[in-house]
Amino acid sequence: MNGFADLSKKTLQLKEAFEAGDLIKLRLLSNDCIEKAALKQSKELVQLSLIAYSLSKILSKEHIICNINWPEARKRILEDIDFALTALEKNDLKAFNNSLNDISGHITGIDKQLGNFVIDLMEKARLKQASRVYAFGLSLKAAVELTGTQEQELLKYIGGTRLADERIEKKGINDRLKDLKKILK
Amino acid sequence: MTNEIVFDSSSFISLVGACAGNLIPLLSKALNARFWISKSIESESVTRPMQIRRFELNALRINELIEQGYLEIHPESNELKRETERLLGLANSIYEFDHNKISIIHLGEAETLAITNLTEADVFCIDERTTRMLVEEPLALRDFISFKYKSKITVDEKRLKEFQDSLEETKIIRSSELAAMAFEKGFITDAKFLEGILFALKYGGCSISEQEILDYIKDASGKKGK
Repeated sequence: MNGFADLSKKTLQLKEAFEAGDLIKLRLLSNDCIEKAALKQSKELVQLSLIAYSLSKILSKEHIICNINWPEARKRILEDIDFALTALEKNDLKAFNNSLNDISGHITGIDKQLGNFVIDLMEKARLKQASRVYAFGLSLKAAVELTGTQEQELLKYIGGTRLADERIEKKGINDRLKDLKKILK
Repeated sequence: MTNEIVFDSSSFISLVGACAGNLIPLLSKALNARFWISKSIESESVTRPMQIRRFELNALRINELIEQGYLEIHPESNELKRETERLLGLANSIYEFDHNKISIIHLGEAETLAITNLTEADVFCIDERTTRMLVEEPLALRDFISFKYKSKITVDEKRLKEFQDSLEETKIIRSSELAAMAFEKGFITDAKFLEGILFALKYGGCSISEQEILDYIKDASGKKGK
């Protein structure tokens, strides 16, 4: 049950970081989970990554954490993290996934109720972490499939990063254009 | 004789997003080319995004190109399915990390590669980096992933050879080369305008560096005497 041990460890880290209100730890956890998820094709690690990212964003928003409804929402999220941990102790992956879905539901609910943006937090998390998957070497569509983001959105997001400037292309425009002219009949 | 060019969605999404979709009909005629896309890419680029307001306009523009016949949908067949699965299986068993095979590409990319193979297309147009590196520089891709993960990534040489043999003849371009070709054909007359399109493609997701664009514009401006 090595996979479950890893999930338990990450879920516990999620709980501790969220309880402590540690944004940085949540972001690091989110990145660590998505990087591992890309190699292992683990939907559970993807979900944990998206939750950790969204929670870090929520904790950074004063208008959310100062809202009168926040303590109750926070309590429910922590309860569901506990349910997730219990599910893993019982080797019940289905119950674990259900708990993660419930947490995602709480996040979407909070965001809908108190957020200011048209693009919701979970969607933003999908996009952000899909770009990380792509940055680490998986293809664009593999990143889309893993995270559930939109391809058009991801292309645009990647275009706004320095990813394309990271390495020198083997063939530049002139070389490829020469190839194209040679091939075309 | 017609030239066959297979498109991945990343390329025509970038082109249409840069308001340069009109180059597709112009190039189709000038190059005597047929531009192919796969059925699954049509649903990813048109059918699904049409339901989302943020992407509706781009989806409509792409759909228009399909309806006008400038982007042709390659028919689905058992042969295509078999070739797609073969290439997907090969690609996703080349790299290994900690005894796990890395699923490097997705069915959608494998399908466009399969169409390229089956139609013996002259050119494969793709803007995303990974699939292109997998075909052109698989060992550099291994090094890239190793560098990112700070871990050793191994390559199954036999699978890699089989994959490379399957795509030996494949020549790859990006949407940026189509824009450059449009410039050379006179559809874009001003080098400054070409620069604008190339940067719009870059910011739209085409994997091209700023330096590459600046170098090319310098050359292109020189050629046109500007």
